[in-house]
Amino acid sequence: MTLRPSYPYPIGETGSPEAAALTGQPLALTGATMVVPTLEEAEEAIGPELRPGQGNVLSVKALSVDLLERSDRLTVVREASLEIGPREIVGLIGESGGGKSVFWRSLFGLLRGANWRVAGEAFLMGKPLNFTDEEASRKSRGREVGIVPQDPMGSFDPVRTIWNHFLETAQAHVDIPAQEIRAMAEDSLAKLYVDNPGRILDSYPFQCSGGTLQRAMVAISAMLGPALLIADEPTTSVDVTVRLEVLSLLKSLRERIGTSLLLISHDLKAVMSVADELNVMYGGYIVERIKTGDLVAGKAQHPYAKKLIKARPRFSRERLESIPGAPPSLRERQGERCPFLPRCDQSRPSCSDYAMEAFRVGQGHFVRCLLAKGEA
Amino acid sequence: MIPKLRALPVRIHICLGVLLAMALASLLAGVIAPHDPVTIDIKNTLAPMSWDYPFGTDQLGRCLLSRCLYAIRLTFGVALLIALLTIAVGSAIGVTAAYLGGLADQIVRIVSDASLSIPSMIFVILIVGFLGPGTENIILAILLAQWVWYARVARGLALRITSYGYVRAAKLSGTGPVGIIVWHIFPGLVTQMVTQFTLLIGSTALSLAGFSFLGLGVQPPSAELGLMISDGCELIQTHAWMMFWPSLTLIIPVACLNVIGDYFSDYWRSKQ
Amino acid sequence: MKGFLVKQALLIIPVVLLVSILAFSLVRVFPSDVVASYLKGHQQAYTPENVAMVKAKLGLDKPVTEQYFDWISKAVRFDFGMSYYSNLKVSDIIYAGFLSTLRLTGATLVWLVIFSYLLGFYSAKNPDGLVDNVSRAVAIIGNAVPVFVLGFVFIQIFALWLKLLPVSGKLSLAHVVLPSISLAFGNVCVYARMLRNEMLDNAEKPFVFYAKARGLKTSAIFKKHILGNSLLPIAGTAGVCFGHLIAGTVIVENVFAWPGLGSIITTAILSRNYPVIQGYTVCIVLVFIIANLLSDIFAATLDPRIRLGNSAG
Repeated sequence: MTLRPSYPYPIGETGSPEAAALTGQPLALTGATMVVPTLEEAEEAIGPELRPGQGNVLSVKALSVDLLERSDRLTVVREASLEIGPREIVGLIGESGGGKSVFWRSLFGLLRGANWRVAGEAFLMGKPLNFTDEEASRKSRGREVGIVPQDPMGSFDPVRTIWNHFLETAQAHVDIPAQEIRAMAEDSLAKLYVDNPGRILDSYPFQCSGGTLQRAMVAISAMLGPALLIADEPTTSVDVTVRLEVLSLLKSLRERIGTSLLLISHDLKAVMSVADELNVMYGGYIVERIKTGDLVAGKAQHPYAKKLIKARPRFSRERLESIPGAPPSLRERQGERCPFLPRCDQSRPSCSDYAMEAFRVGQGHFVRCLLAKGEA
Repeated sequence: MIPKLRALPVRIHICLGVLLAMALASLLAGVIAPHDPVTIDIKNTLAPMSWDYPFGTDQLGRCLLSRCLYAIRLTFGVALLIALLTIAVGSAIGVTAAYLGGLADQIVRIVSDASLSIPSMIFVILIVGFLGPGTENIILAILLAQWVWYARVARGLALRITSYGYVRAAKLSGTGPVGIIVWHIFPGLVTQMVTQFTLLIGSTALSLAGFSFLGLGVQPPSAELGLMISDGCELIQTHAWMMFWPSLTLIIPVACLNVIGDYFSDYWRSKQ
Repeated sequence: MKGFLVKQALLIIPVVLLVSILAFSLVRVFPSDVVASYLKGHQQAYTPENVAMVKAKLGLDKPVTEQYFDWISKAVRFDFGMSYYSNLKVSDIIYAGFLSTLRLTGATLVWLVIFSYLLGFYSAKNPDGLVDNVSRAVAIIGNAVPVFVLGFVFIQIFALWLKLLPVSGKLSLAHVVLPSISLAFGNVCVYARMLRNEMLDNAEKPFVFYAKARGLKTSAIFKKHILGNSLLPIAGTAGVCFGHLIAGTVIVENVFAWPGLGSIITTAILSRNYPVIQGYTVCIVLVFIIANLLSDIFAATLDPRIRLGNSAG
């Protein structure tokens, strides 16, 4: 069984014509041999006219999500844009309440309740995402997009075996006999370094540790060969000692399974060690998009991002800097103005008129801050 | 702890008003009842409702309205007594068991677990089976059947409270056991027990009426609602009011108590 | 788990023993009462000669322990003697009564299961709607209506005015409708509300969100995950529920003249028919213990956490 880096592709039906063009051949059911075009080969196959989002696994353009509460219309996410390419790991950093969860959930129809209005465009593997089409969202969930939510222990049905979760997920999307699904499940778990996958499959959630359950969640998501994996706060509900394992596991995913990864967290340090690119979210805006290399080299522009970097504990005699103040509540941050202004110590008078345009500061580096304007 | 009277929803006001009115009416039964409840008037049996006899008369010519008024006293008065004793005894035993721990606690725990399997009504039947029917026997039987559940609830609450920090602090600072029980444990129990008490009066009244209906509780010629309903049921086809009025007299206060009890249990649960 | 069950099963013996001692001794506390009752049942006068004869016949002059062993040796074979008021063996009477009561309970369960589920499911899908609020009101207020009043009202409406269903007496299917509805009535709303609350709570749980995130259809999520987990606590109370049902049959059987255990014991108590009372006591305790055991087994079958113990793998 040769394992080579693979370009992800959904099993069963052929999916969109663009996707078929990209890979050349569907994944074999047992994952034994996977045909792997390089990125160049794939882009060559599409041709010179790249349609919007083409070549990118996930492309979000100016997404805005509003919450309707009684007579108010509150904007939770404003004009957020995101690009994830094949086999890329992209991080989304921000404090709780900043809109991270709402952002990714809105893309795939996982918002709770009917009081949301989503505007903007998004494309998954070149196919536009319809935010209001329940059935279309459902079909792509679990198959084109693998989702690994928080709380591994609570995410499993306590009265059903782990195997059952694999089985029903597969059966919701493709028509494959159960024995083959079992083989796929064991294979998927083995790829994630789980010992004795058969025993784990036949266990109940309460008999497994949090770490094992998390791997199982990733395995379920990966089993059907999704293009993108979304991991929501993967290090939060896990012990400190296991955190490193989780991070290295996530990092190795792109080699072993070939998916892109969208990592959502408030733990900057964790994400930095794994991601290629970081998107910093504050007050509903993505205030900075920066490559990790640039971030480490200190090229961050937005004051909030700069503070986040400085706030990491290090072995030094300096006092740990914290950011005074608190993030604005949902009602406080309505309107198109800089949400960080009250806490910013580098603000200028012109900031109060600033309508949050994005400035390009370098290759793949965007900032929503007037400070960057000078350097653009 | 107790919400303001004005802040309570309308239905609670209505229920409290109804309960108060009926309680007053029964306490003043001696004054407002148009006739004596036990006087038998053979010439006037089964009379329909009239100005003289607003609820009509029963098969022995007794005024139904007067009987109902006095019956409220009996049924609900006795129910109140039983409920009070049940909660008092149950709480006392439960709290003591929780506080003392050890063997006493184990015994109480085993007894309460064992009695869970037998529904209280059957328990009462068994006790009455051996003691015989009668008012005192039924009171004793209901009490014996019910106290266990409240001991269990009280014990659970007390165990939780004694584990709180402030109780341990009080113990360390030398407060005696009685002091701890009175000042720390009881206040924690009160809200729960008041809700339980409200609901218990209703269910005890129904039990009492039920057993009297079967002939196992209060004996004739007492004016008791269960007995009156039983008498009325035999003649339901021709003289429906004989069953109707005592039933209403029984149902309305119990319904009011249930509504109040349910409201308060929601209220205090949301406060936690 | 198996150990737990075995322990429970072993407990049956001491409990039943204890109950039998109580059943035996409480009657023997009033020996003259026993004799009087016996004589009355056999329609004989209360004369000293008769009293002496009865005492000898029932073995009341023997020492207490000997009397107890006589009784218990027969009781383990379910021989409780003869009823004072008829020429029937107590065990036959109780057995027949038990079957009748079981029939009634079974019919009641049918109504309960069907309507609690329907009502609960509908209320969960449309929370705070009309049905939801009405069922809540009925659960609270309907509890206040005693089952004997309800039973007679039903008789009046359905049997006498509308002449739809027979009144009472026989054991046929048509005869079981009214009593079982009366018994089920108050409880349906209570169980429906329990189910509704469980379903709504479970719909918010993380595992439901994860199921949705994996792309499962809503109907599949409901059937496989929400329903299963919502039934767990109700299955756990199956024993208590059964107890309440049996308790309710006591009054309902009297109202509808249904020849089950409830009617039998009531008559027995009123006529001081001690053998029947004793037999009933021992049997009913046994029934409840077994019912609780079965209920525990049932809960364990549904919930692997109980079955396999809470151990981390």
